[in-house]
Amino acid sequence: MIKSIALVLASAAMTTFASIGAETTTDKAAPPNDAQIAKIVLVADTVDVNYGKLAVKKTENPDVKAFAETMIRDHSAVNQKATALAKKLGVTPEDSETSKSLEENGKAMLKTLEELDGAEFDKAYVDNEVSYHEAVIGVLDTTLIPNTKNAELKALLESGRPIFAAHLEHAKKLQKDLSK
Amino acid sequence: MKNLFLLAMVLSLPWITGCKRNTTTATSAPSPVVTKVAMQNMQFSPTTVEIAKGGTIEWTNEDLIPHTATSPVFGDSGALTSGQSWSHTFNEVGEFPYGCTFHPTMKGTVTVK
Repeated sequence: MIKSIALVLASAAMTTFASIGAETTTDKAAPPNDAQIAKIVLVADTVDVNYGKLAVKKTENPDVKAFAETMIRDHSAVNQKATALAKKLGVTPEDSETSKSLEENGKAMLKTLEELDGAEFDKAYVDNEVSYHEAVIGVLDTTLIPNTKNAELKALLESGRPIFAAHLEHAKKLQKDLSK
Repeated sequence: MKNLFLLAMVLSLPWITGCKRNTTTATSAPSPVVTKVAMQNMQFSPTTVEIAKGGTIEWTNEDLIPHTATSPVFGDSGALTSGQSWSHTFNEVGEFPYGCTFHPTMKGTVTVK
């Protein structure tokens, strides 16, 4: 049961971000613009903050709770910086198919997670965090950073990359600990 | 009378100047040695630092997100947001491992000789 839920969540995370790649590889004439990239970043952070809030509420595992609190703290901080930068640059974050799909999939995954409890919830949450951060890093490297035109926005995304990589490492360690 | 007053003023000038110089010398104690450590790209940079006893380390968060510099021996900076700094002076020799409580992958060591 746990294994199948984790697989569903993992594939959902991959599908969510795979759509970003699809958008740019099949329609090479229209890669995401800076306003769309800003919105994708804001939504991606918000989705993970929402997973974290649910985890803080549901988990009884102190390590999972500490990790979730870090996700809330860090992704909220990145969002604050991104929002401030967009305001400074006069960029209004713009919806795209990708940001909409991220939002929808995020809501669906939250619903799935809400139905789980105890060790089942912890495992599903942490497995999803591993998949989600792997997908985010992949998309940052292949689509978001290369297509960003504004130097300050690009610098912000580049500063975010080691943060997501450290989150992934943290999540993988937690995943290993939970499997013992 | 006026001449005597002027003479007294002239004679007292070197004394006044000397006092001033002495005062300046007395307050110019050796400035403490401050070694800077950046919290950058999810790392302490440099990761290992060697300082002399009585030296100070100043940690500055140059990342987008909050970090801490925390050790069970020398204390806890608390959450430092982007741009904030925290200092600690080391008056004991030894090796002091520390880390960021939020990010277990961030580790560093201060060696005091």
